[in-house]
Amino acid sequence: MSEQTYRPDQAWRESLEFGAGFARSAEALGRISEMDVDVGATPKTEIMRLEKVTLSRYTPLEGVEVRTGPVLIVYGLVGRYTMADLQEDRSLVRNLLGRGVDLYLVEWGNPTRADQFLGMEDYTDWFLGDCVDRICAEAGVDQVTLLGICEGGTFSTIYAARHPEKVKNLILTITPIDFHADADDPDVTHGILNVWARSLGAQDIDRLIDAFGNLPGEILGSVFESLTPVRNLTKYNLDLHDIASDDERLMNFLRMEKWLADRPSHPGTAARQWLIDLYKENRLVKGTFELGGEAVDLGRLTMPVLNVFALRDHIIPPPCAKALGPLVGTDDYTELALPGGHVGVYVSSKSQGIVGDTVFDWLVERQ
Amino acid sequence: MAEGFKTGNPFFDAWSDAFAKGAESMAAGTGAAAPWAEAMREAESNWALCQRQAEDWMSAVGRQMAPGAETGGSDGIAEETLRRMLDPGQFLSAGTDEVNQSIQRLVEGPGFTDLGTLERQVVKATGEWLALRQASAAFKAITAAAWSRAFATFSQATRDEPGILSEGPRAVLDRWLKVANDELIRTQRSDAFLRAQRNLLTAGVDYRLKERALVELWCETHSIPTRSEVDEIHRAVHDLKAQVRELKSRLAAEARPPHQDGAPSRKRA
Repeated sequence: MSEQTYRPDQAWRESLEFGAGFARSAEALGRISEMDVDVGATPKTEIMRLEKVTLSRYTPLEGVEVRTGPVLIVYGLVGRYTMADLQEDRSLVRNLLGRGVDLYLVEWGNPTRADQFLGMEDYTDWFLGDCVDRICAEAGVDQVTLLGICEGGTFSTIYAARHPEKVKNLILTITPIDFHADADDPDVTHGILNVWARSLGAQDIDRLIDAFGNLPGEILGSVFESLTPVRNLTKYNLDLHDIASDDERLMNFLRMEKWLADRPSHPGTAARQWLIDLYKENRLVKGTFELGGEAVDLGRLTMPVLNVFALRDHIIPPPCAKALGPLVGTDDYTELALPGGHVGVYVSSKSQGIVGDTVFDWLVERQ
Repeated sequence: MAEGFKTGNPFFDAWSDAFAKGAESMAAGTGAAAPWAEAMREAESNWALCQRQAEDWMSAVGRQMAPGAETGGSDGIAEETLRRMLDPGQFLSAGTDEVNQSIQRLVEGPGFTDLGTLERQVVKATGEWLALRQASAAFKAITAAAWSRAFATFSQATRDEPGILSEGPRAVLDRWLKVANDELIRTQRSDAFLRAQRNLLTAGVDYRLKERALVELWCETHSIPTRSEVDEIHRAVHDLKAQVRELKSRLAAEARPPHQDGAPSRKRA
């Protein structure tokens, strides 16, 4: 052991600082109610409801002229769209509204066991299809731009490949297409969900869903938590202690925690397709993923495509997203690689401007 | 007696042996409960050793970092946090055991005081329950081995760079967390971890399905609708909705003028 150089007075000082920090944490948390931790707060109006699914139109910002056709944000069933509208100054939604994008949102609601037989065909052809039709009627157009996020990007891709005539442009963000391409990622810490899904047999997944009807949100949440194992130990003590005296950082932290904790169950049939057909068997890039008896052909993506991915994405490794490029049926294919991680695309202040500007400029050129 | 992979680290080796025995028992089926029980006792004992090792280290290093602590006068909270973070049990809540806990929570559900009590007790005497306990123990064994490896790395680092200790408890804590995080991430991607996690998942699901079968038997006896029957209704409703949707779509297509159909090809240069 080394000789002691850490003096008692230092220990005292640190002790007092820690004590004061924890007192600040307790005081700060005591004056914040759940209502104060508002995520997804940008005003919108519901225009259609299908079962538990709702379609809303965001209220254009005052004084901002709408400069694009309708754009529909499509999130996945894993988690919640609020990541794209976490808070006023970290919101892709507000960024796009501020630039004059006519923005719509589909929310999948809270699936229960009654929804266990909903499959990807239901989510794409039925729900998404009806949303697109309704937007077309509302906006007086015959095509809509889709902006897919994560699993919602895969849904958007599938819908666009099956109904290219209805999709004006396809914008994908952090979207998995080749579910085995994580093997090509030089960072071995990327792709834990890919590794986890492949470690299970198809029968294991089937029985899991048989037992619970759906894929419980808790299971997926726990897989995501294992991405940053030690952070789970420290976030409610050390991390909270470190940020408690900064109201802005504390609210950012709480909003992010609220988003992380909001993990709805994934409807069973769609979860089998997601985990077995796509994550395990990688059928989408092989051209063998079938919906309604037809293989989804990515070559039918004839509309302009903008593919945004994050270079340090642990959940969707960049090669899984980039794999789309050679498979589309259009020459108008653009990639935007961002420096951060999965969530950083939406909440990092640096990425916000880049994503907002790139998406807007790209869209305006294709109106 | 089965022996696991030998590293020279007594803690890791003991855990490894326990896990190897567990894996053998699992392969042999539920008839091999006896060696498992021995392995689990051994696992508990080794877990306690890991904890003692962490406590001893903390006690020795704590005196160096803050000698006043011996008199109870200046024990910093950072030091206390470090002590807690060094607890091997924390590894179980550091992401690694999330799946384990989720499965246990989902499997056990609310503890009804009356309905199906007998059945719940019966099911806990079955091979599925035993398998779940065994899978959970094997999973923890992998986690303990990870802690042991992380601790060995961390101890070596403090020997190689004794200056770390002079930077105070927070610096030591940050170093430990970094080592622990790296080790956990490596472990989570290892075949042994993934296999143990898969065994735990399947054991949890098997138990849940067994329990449901028994509860449904009780429900049927008392003319109460079962989960399986309700699921069948959900399926029927889903299929009916799909048929209505299909019908509406066909009627709408027939009502549309022919020129509105077709998918234009729009390949852009």
